[in-house]
Amino acid sequence: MTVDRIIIEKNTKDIYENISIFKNLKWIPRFLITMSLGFSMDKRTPIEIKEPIVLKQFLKSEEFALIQSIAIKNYDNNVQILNDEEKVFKAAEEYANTGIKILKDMEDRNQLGSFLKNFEKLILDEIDQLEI
Amino acid sequence: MQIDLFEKPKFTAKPFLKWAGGKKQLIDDIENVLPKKIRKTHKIEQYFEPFIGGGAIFFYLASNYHIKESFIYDINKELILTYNAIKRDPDELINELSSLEKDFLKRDDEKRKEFFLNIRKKFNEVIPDFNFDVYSREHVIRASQTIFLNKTGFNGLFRLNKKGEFNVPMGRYKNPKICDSVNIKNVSSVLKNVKIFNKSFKESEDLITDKSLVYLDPPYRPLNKTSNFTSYSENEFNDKQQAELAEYFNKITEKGAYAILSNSDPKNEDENDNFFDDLYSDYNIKRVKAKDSLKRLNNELTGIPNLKEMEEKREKYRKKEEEFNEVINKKEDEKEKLILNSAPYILSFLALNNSSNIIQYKIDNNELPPPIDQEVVESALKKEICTICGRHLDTDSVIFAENLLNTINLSNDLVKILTNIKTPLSKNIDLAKRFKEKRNTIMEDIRFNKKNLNEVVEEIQKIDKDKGGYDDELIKQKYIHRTTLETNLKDFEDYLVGYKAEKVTISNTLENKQVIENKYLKDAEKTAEISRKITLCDDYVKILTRIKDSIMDETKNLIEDLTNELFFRFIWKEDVFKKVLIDKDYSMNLIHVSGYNSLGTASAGERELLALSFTLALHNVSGFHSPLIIDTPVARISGVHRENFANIFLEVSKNQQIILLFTSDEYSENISSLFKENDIKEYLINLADNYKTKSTIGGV
Repeated sequence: MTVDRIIIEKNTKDIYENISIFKNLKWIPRFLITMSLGFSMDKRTPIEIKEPIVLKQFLKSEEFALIQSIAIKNYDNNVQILNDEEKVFKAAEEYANTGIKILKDMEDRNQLGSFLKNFEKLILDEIDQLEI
Repeated sequence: MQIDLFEKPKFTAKPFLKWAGGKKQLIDDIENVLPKKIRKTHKIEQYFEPFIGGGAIFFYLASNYHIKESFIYDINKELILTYNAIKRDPDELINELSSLEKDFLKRDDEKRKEFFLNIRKKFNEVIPDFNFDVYSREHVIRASQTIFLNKTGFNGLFRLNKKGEFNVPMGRYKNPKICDSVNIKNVSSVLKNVKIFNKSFKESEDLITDKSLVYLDPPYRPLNKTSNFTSYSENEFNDKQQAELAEYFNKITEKGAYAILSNSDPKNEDENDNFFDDLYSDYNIKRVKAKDSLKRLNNELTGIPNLKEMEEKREKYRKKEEEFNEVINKKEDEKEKLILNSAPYILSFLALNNSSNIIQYKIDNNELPPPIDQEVVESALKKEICTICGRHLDTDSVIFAENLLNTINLSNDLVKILTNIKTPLSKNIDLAKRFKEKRNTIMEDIRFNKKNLNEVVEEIQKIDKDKGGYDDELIKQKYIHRTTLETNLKDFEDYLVGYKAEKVTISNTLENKQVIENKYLKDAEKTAEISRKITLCDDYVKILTRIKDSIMDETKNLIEDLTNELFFRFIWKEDVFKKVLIDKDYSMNLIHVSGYNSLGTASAGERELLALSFTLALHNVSGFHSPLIIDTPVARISGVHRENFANIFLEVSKNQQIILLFTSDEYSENISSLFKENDIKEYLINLADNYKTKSTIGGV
């Protein structure tokens, strides 16, 4: 089955549109952030009601490569998974579904202005932890 | 209900023209000598300024005191025209000035000069036909030209020559403020109830009362003879006028008016010059040095913060604060963008690194089939010929090619995918790795700008702290006043430099002229001397001529008298002739008894007798006693008269040697006998043979 668009959980669309740090971002970077966040927490959340957000063809090669690398890792380093685009995107979308919830939670817990700082801290901690 | 007739100052107006000898720097000194009552109540019943000029004192008083009635005068008609135009049509004037300002400022230096000269030419051209007496729109245009020329002219001077023409060259101002619309409106409001006159100071005398405050700022008396800059208008103001002003001053103070007058102090140049001390000996004279006001103000302001300067400084810091905040915000935005763009690759770094390693491992272990051209293999199978070496494919080769083609078909998609994502994965890993460095650079910039921002904020806080507790408005005014004084002082110093240079030029010219004048004077003296001598000579000549004429007349008269005497003694005819007259040119007239000149009709004997009388008279009068020789004395005399002549000759010979040359025919017996009787010497002259006669002289 050909995947032609990226989907999110329907009831998270509002969150995507209202979350402060996303206000100047388009859908693909928003999706990549939530996907990566979900991946870093190693938690996939299945999508109950699908809501397409953007056509896959708009992904740049670097962005698509990121989604594919997550799929490889998620399927025990089996590169064959890349032949199954549906699974590749399913993993990405379920990680994003986790990521948006974490992000919402972060925003809710932080005062205005400190959300980005905490998000930055999260990134810096990640860099330290992974020794990037 | 009590009605306050005093016009309360509602506006702060200042001079709208830069005026030579403006009194802004003397405001404090003049205010200090105002009557105590005025200083206390800030109320002035009547204010007169008969030499309004730039009006610095008037505008100051009008802006700070309640003046019930004001009267201003000036003999300069251009100045008064401008005052009236501002008073009556400030908005139209602002329009005109604004238009001139725009036109002027948009041009480059060269074009500005052309523009200036053009306005000056227009201004001067209309003078002969301009109607100053009847107010019209032309007055507004002319007022705008006056202000324009004043604001753009050299040193802001407004100087007219004797013909009333503006003759100041263009100044060097970068962006002169030509149209100060706020001040023009304020000046107009102040002038609304002011009576303005284009008249001499003397005309104000009748209106001045014991309630009047009069400030007189006449053209300064030049400090030395070569710096005569009192011609502020085409009407000069010399010592005679200064004396007349002093007389006017006496009259108005006698009326009870309170009068203040300012002028230059000639003692600065010559301490023995008591010109004003003598003129105003009955009044208090306060000598003010231009720098004194500034010094006093500086003392007053010592230790008091310059609020205006502080506010300007604060405004500068505030702008810097804005700039730093702007940079910081920009950098924060840049950092946010970097975080959000990099976050996916950092959070997924494990996956990226893992995939990249897997692909690299497969490449390193040849797990990824080499890239084979599917079309080449298919073509070889079809033709059963190797497309590379051209050999016919055997069975083994065909089987190998068929297996290869199957492998290609089976793995091609995955290989493609893995190969395609290799480079993007590397880019993503690189992006994640470079995040920290990029962020650090941005953070460094933010820290730097925040440090600057903090410093600026501290400065602003310090200024706010320093400003606390002072009367802002009062101090601000004093600082503004000080700036004005400093500007004026600088202007005066500039003027002084200009005037000194002009003085040197004039002195040089004067010296040259004096040299020429001395030469002329010497020449004139010589000419006068020569002229005197010529006159003297002329007089001598006249006297001598008169003497000569007198002598000549006297001589002639003597000769005439003697000739008459002799003639009438010798003449044997009685009662025929009346007298002998001799003219000035010694022509002879023998007047007949009948009254006519009978010389032409006289006989030869009468003529000879007359000639003899005249000759003898001549001899006698001249005192020259030479022998008298008469050739053939009686040749033309007939008969008996010859003897008469002989007797005459005998008589004459008593006093005078006489030689008579007779021919034989003439020398008659009678004559000879007569001569012999009287012992007259005779000589016989014989002519030579070749002349048919013998020439010999022998005594007888």
